[in-house]
This record gives sequence, structure tokens and C-alpha cells, in this order.
Amino acid sequence: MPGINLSESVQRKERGAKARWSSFSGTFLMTFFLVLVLVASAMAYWYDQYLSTANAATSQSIEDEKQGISQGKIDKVADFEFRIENIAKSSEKRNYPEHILTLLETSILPEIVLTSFSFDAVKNRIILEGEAAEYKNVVQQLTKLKQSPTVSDVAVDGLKRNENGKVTFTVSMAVSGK
Amino acid sequence: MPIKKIFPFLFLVIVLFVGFGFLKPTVDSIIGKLSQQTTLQNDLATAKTTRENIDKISNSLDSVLASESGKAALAFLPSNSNQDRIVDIMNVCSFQSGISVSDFSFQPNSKQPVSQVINSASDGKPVTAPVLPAPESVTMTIGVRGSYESIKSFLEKLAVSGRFHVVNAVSIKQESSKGDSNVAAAPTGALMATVKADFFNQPERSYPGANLLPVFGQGTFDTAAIDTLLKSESKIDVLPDAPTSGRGNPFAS
Repeated sequence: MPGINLSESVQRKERGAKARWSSFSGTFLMTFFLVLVLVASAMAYWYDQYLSTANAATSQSIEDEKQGISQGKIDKVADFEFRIENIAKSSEKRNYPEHILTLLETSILPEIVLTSFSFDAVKNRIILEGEAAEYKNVVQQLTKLKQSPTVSDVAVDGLKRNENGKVTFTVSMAVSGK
Repeated sequence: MPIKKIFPFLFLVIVLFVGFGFLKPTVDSIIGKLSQQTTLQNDLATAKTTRENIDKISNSLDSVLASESGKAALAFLPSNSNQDRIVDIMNVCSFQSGISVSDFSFQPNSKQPVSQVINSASDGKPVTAPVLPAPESVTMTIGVRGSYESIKSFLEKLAVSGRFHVVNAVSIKQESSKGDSNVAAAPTGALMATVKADFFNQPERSYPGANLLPVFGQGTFDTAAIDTLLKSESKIDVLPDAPTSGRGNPFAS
């Protein structure tokens, strides 16, 4: 028949079929994905409920186990365990001021006579008061104390000559070791 | 608008609604419950071990308390302040050192708070073991009179008295005679000393969640700390050695 293009008609049919197939596959994929999300949600909900039940059962098992244990016995054991731990830590807190006296015995010069000694563990400081015949004796004493590795921050708090003609002094220092 | 065009948009809204409104909270809940499950499984294992070991460790405790180590531990850190025992220690130390006690006083310190249970579960049950309680203490102040050597000996004997204490302060000064209005005060040769020390004790109390302590898993006590204490106490010389250098008594001319 003249005036009719058969090849154009075939092409139009093919495009229509492709469009329908594209629409169908898109709808199918979206529906499939939606179902997948819903199934996943349902499974998650089920697993969540399963875990709740399992945890409740474990909690109950713990309580059952505890039923057979006397709290009094537990407290007694814990008390002694803590006592041991506190004893182990006690060595960190303890100090031995008699060791400081031994240090003084080896550090105080023969020309010096102490009149007072005080040790404050909280401030970790020693204060010494003493007498000497001359100022130079006090200086020598300070030099000797500064050389000691057991004390540090040696400072003269007071120095004067008393009515007896002797030099009295007050020295303070920090304890480096106990 | 044809339904074909709004369908993808509708699909997206449904997916987002299901995803953020239901799936995400459920997944979060699952993660939380899985974590809780691990904790509960550990607690169950601990509870089982505790139940299995409680008799064993109780027997172990009885035998330790009956031993010299156990007695030393209870004497070193008793349950109460035992001030009578402190007075007894001072009496023995002063008598053996040859000093005379001039005054004596006690001052109880503010009590430490009871050990706090951390991370309590929503039902109020402890989920962690209790922390180590700080010991309580009473402060003792003692004034003594004696020679330098006797005061030093007193301090040395106090150090090995077998009772947990910390010396806070020591002061020693020359004793002066009470001079009248015409005569100045003169040193008598004796020394006056004041010693201030904290003596510690650990009161017995209940410990919620104590079954989570590792000792229940071990089934036995580690008494190494007590043995070390006993060894260190016996290592310190009770009687002072003569100084090998220096001048001895720094209070004497």
C-alpha cells in the first residue's frame, strides 16, 4: 500500500514494549525492596524479643546461683581481702622519723648543739633549733646539711646571738626520703 | 498526577518510615541487649564460680585467721580502734625504752564514707565489685621525757609495734629547769618529746556486689602482703645500733 512506512510502526511497537518492561521491572524492584525491609524489620523485632527473653533467663539464673551463697560469708571474705589490700598499701603511707634522727646524728657537727627538733609528716618538713659558738659554725652546718641527699630546700629561718653569747639558729628543710 | 509518578516517592517515604521509625530503634535495642548479654554471662559465670568456691574460700579464711599471719593481719589492722591496745603498746614501748610518759590523749578522726558501689543497674543491684574502703583512724598524742637514746629507741619500738600507724609529727626539745625570777632556766639534760600518730582500723561492714571480687574466682587468699609485713617488721632493729659516723646525740654538747 502506498504512503505507509512499515518499519516505523515496528519501531514504535518495540519502544512501547521496552517502556512497559522498564515500568514493570522498576515496580517489581521497589516492591521487592520494600518486602525485604519489612522482612528485615520483622526478623529484627523477633531477635530483639528473643534477646529480652534470654537476658531475663540469665538474670534469673544469676539470682538462683546467688540464692545458694550466704551474704554473710561473702562479706567476711571481702572484709579480709580488703584488709590484706590495705595492709599491702600501708607501706606506702608509713614513715620512720627515727631514721631522720639517725641522719641528724651523722649530719650535725660537733660544734653544734640542738635545742629543738620537730618533724611534720604532713608538710614533710623538719625544723631544727640549735646553738653554736660562732656564726661560721652555723654556716658549716648548713653546708653539711645541703650536702645530704636525704634533705633538700635547707633554709635559715632565724639567726641571732643570745644573752649567753652563743649563736642560736632555726633551720628548716624538706625530707627527700623517709 | 498519575500514580506512576508518585509511586517512587511513596516508596521512598515508606522505606524511610520503616527504616528510621522501626528498624533503627530495634537494631539499637539489639546492640544494647547483646552488650547486656555479655555482662550477664560474665556475671553468671562469676556467680557460679563464687557458689562453687564460697565454701573453699571460707575454709581458707578460717585457716588463715587461725595462723600467725592471720592473727598478725588482724592485730595490724583491727576491726575497731582498740584504744586499750594502743595504750598497751605505748606502755610497753615506753617501759622498754626507759622513758616516762607525761601525757596521753586520743582524738577520733572523721569517719571515712562507706565504700560506694559504682554503676548500679536500673534495678539497684550492683554490677561492679566494691572499691577498697579507706581505713578509719584515731590520732594519738603522747608526751614523753627521757634521754635522746631512749626517745629514739621508743620511736624504733613503736615502728615495729605490729599495729598500722603513721607518725604525723615528732618534736623533741631540751627540758629546762623552772628558774625563779633571779635565776635563768637551764637545761636539765633530759629531753621532752611529743609524738603524734594516726592508728588505723578497718570496721567490718557489708559489701554489696562483693561476690564480683576476683578473690572468689581464685578461691584462695594471696597473703603475700602479710608475709612481707611480718618480714619487714622483723627486719627493723629494735635496739639502736651505735652510729658509725658523726657524733651520736645531737642534743648534747
